[in-house]
Amino acid sequence: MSIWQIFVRQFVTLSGYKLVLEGLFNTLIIAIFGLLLGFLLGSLVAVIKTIPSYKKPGVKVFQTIADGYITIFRGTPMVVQLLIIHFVIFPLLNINIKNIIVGSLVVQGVVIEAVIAFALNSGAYIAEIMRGGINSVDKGQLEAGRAVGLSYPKTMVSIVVPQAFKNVLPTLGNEFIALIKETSVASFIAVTDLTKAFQNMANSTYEYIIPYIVLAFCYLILVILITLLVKLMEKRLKKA
Amino acid sequence: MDQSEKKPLIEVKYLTKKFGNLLVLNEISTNIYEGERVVIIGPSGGGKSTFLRCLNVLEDPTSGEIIFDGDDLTDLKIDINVCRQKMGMVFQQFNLFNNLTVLQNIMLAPVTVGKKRLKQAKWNNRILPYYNKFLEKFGAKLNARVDKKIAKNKAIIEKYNAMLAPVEEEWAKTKRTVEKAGKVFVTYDKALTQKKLKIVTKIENAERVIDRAKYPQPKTPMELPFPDVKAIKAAAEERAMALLKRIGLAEKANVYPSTLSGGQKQRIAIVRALAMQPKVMLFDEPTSALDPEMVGEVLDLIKTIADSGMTMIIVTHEMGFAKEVASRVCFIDGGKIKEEGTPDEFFNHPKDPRLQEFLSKVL
Repeated sequence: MSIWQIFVRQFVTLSGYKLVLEGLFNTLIIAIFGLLLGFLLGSLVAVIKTIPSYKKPGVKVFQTIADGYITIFRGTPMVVQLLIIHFVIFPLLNINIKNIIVGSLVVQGVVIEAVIAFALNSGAYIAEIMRGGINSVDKGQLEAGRAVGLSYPKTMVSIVVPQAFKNVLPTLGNEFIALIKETSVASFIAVTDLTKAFQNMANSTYEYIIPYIVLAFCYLILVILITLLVKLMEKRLKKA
Repeated sequence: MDQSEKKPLIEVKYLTKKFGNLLVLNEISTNIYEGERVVIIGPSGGGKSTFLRCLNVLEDPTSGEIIFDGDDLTDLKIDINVCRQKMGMVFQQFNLFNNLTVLQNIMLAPVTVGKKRLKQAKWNNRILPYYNKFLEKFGAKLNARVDKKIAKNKAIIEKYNAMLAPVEEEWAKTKRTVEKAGKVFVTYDKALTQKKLKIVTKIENAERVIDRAKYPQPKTPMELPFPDVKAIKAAAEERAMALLKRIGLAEKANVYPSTLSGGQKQRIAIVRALAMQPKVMLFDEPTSALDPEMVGEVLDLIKTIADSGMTMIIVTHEMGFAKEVASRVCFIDGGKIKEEGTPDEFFNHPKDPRLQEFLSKVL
């Protein structure tokens, strides 16, 4: 059989494309929502960590919690966190996440668990990235905001964090790329992500060459798309 | 002078600021009256900028009081944001918000404040009937509680006043005068000073509680300043555009600050402060970061604002400008106001030797 025949047999005749689409869908859901939630969480942690603590003593408690969070989630491997969340924490708390059905799309409960795990993990990294971004914004911006009578949180949200975001956008793009490739470990908790889909396909036909090479190209295309997206955003933000 | 009868707009009492062990401001006391234009000059590192930044608590004073419009700004319990809305500040480095357009820069604070007030007014009007009903039922009880609180604190004051008298007497006895390097120092027993201070603080705290104690009042409906958020935005935009037109930069309304020249940036920063309709404007070396040819346009704008009767405090190195615009000039060096007076007196007949030396160098 020629390469083309194998390709057609794998993806069309044996309906491999369905598996691939499902895997792509799950991978994208985990990566996109993991990043968004991670960004919100990370920004919040970064803002908490940059509050000058001598002003309000209560802040110290939150900062210690934030430090602990970052230490734990940067200090353990992603796979271990995923396994602990799926096999330890959720069963212990007796939480059972149901599938979410949006129209004809089904988001599995395990996918949502993976989203939570990836959000927590990337949040820890993004927190440190954003902290660097916030520190890189001129101190005068915060002072000017405070001087016109805006509160500290308001100044942070509408002036400092947007500028910090602009400064860290290339690094955030990096984080997103790392995240989308790291989602391949989601198969540890029985999520059919992109890697798992191709693995299943290869295992069922004992034909490994084509599926794995196509898999690599899939990730490559995704990453190239993200790179373009980040570039576009940078261009738009450059005006300001 | 009739000024001594008027109440000052800003009252600075024994303002002290330390950075670590470095004493930057050393018990500065001064009054600033409405309509005054105070220019502060002095050598760099003398504490001018720190003094100005302490006035709106961008720098936390180590000790002392700043009473602005009846509020003590150094008190942690007041809402500093509301007080700062009444104080415009212009920075040396302009500090325009880089992520917002010129128009948004000017509108941000008025819109935010307007929204907050609208929310408060709406909330007040919503809970008003319930609150008043509650007050009708339990008003007498609450009043009695306030009475009890006042009586208790009065008793505390009396008790500590009685304690204070003997301590103070003993403390006064330990006074010792020492002459060192031609200066006279007065020292007291340290432990007694601490003891006295503790008692005095307790009395002051009790007095403050009595001052703050309020009998609960029935709420009255608050008038909504604007019907909705849209109206707030429209009003803020109208005012911002009018201000921009006044400085001739209306066509720059929708550009980002990074495309503007230094002079334009500083004029917009001044307008941004004016948009809040402040009672006093603080200028922190507004022309120091500008190209020489742009200094004129900024100073002209400050002059026109001065002519409109705005109270101003200006830190500057422009002596000609100081002479022209000031109603009072202060010389700050070594954390103290060494000399102050009218421009004529100040520049033509300086008394302080340090000021004479300074003026001979810069004029």
